Amino acid sequence: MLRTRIIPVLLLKGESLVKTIKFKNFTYVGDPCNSLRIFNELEVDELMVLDISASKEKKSPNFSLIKDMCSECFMPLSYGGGIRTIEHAKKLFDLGIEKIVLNTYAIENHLFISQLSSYFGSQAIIVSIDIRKRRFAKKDVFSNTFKSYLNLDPIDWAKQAEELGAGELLLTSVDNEGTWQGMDFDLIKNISQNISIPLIAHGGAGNLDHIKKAIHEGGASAVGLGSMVTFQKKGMGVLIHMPKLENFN
Amino acid sequence: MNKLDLQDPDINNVQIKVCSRCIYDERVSNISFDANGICNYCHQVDKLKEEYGTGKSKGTLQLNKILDKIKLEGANKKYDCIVGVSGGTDSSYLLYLAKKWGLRPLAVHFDNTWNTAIATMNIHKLLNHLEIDLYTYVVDNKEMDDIIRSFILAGVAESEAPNDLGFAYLLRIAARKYSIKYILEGHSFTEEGITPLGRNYFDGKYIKSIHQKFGKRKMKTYPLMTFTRFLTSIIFDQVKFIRPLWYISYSKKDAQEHLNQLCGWEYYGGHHLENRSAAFFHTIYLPGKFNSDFRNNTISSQVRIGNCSREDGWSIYNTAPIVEPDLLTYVKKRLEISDIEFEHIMNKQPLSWKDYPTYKKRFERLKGLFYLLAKLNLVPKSFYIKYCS
Ligand SMILES: [Zn+2]
Repeated sequence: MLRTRIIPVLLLKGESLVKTIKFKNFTYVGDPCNSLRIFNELEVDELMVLDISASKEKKSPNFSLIKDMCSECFMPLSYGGGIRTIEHAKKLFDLGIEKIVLNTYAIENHLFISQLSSYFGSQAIIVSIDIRKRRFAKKDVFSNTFKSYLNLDPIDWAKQAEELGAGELLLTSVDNEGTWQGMDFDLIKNISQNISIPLIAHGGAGNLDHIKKAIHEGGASAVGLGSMVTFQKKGMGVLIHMPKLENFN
Repeated sequence: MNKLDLQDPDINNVQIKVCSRCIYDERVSNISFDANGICNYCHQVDKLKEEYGTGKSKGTLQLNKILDKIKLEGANKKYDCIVGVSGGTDSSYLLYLAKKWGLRPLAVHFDNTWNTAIATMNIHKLLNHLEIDLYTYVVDNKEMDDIIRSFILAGVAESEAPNDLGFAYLLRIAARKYSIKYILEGHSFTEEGITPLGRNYFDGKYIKSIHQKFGKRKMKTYPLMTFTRFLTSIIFDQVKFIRPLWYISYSKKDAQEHLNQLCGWEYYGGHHLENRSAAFFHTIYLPGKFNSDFRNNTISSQVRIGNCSREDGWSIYNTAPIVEPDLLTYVKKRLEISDIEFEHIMNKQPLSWKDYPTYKKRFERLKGLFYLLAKLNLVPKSFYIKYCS
């Protein structure tokens, strides 16, 4: 059996790493380069850094910081946040980024996914989809940048992203994010059954059982971890670490 | 660049006066020697050993009394004491001891965002194994860098003051948050000695004034211990500071081995090296700019307790410290200091804390109050001596 892919998902706000709960209430986690250095020493196979302020502040990716991060990071690093042009993407790959993550601009401009995918290959393109429950329990794609629902059916948008050329999908449940209470397993299952590209499930993992369930029952091919690699345990202090995966596979 | 005034590494060839028991020499501030050539700091250690009954039944008895009191007063609380952790030997071992003694400690960590991986992993392994909860405060990394940078630009030797005082205040903040009345400190005078008086000084005003003068950002997340906050905490929280290692026999080396077997805890290779900014100050900045090397504190203690001969201790002290190869490059890049600027900083005339505003005069004026507070154990006696006279 393939080794379970566990991907620490680190959130960048300005030039600091932060962790959120349901996309709000952020706490400082540390310096991005220093933290990547620490992850380097831990047994981490790949990492993802998402700049959560770039699109909101209409900024391009912070290339000088990304350059420094790439030089600290020996494992494959994915990056998302503020990518709006082919040039942005090209520069990121030149700096050593392995995969780029699209969210806001992919929603505004669907064709951008296809453009990037044909330029760089679909294996380098991850489309990130944030899902939040609306009132009356209907789930919708949510834009954190615009703080609004998009009236998009999650499954439709996931299928569309695949057709447009996404090589992988990052699925984040906003309602579960940072809660430690488990992931949205129904959602993960619904999406994974409707696409053929790999799915990274993210949001809500609080223990190893959650991770297992997302993979074995939900059909995700990887799990993104935030709180679990950032805090000692639920409600406790910041302490970067990787959960032990022995007896796991 | 290395201005460290190294003496002949052979102690028999040295032109300056060196204590006949440890390796403190005449350049150490406020040093004096007796008829046998033994320095006042060696005598101070002997006196403390006597007073605290270190390693003797007298010490154990005294400590047990304190432990009973901590347990009694904390009986209805989730935690009965706080131990500040850095990932280093002493605080790690103290946590182990606290658990062994039946205390329920909360570990508190001040994260200045310059941690090494080994420190982070040590904390995690240890706390996991001992099932101890952690309270961490992480300062905004850019703000902390700005404060650290402003101390370098100020040209003073108390480069670690922002870290030390931030940590000290965080312990008080955590004590208040969880209404804990005792803070255990992992200091050992036998292993590390007592810092010579008058060598350095810092307080909240010092940090604020240097940052205002040389910093570029606003101080927003740094836990600054102002005079009012300090006094409020002393009077309202009434937290007591205990140094358990002063009462018992303690060996760093044994502690390291024990921790390693216990949970895979690893030694990081030297005092202060668990944090990268501390490592920079101790191996590059202080020796290079101030011709001062704080290693003689620890080395002298190691000589006193017989872990190391006087000859070897002197030789180690007078050999330039080992510097992690890419540390300087990392620091310059992170603090945005160019090569030329750094060269300039290192060659500039050093300044002292006396060149900047501090609370020192205020502490001196309130000598009577702090004498009383020291009597009540609400501030350490060492605080009274250092800050009020
Ligand atoms: Zn001496």
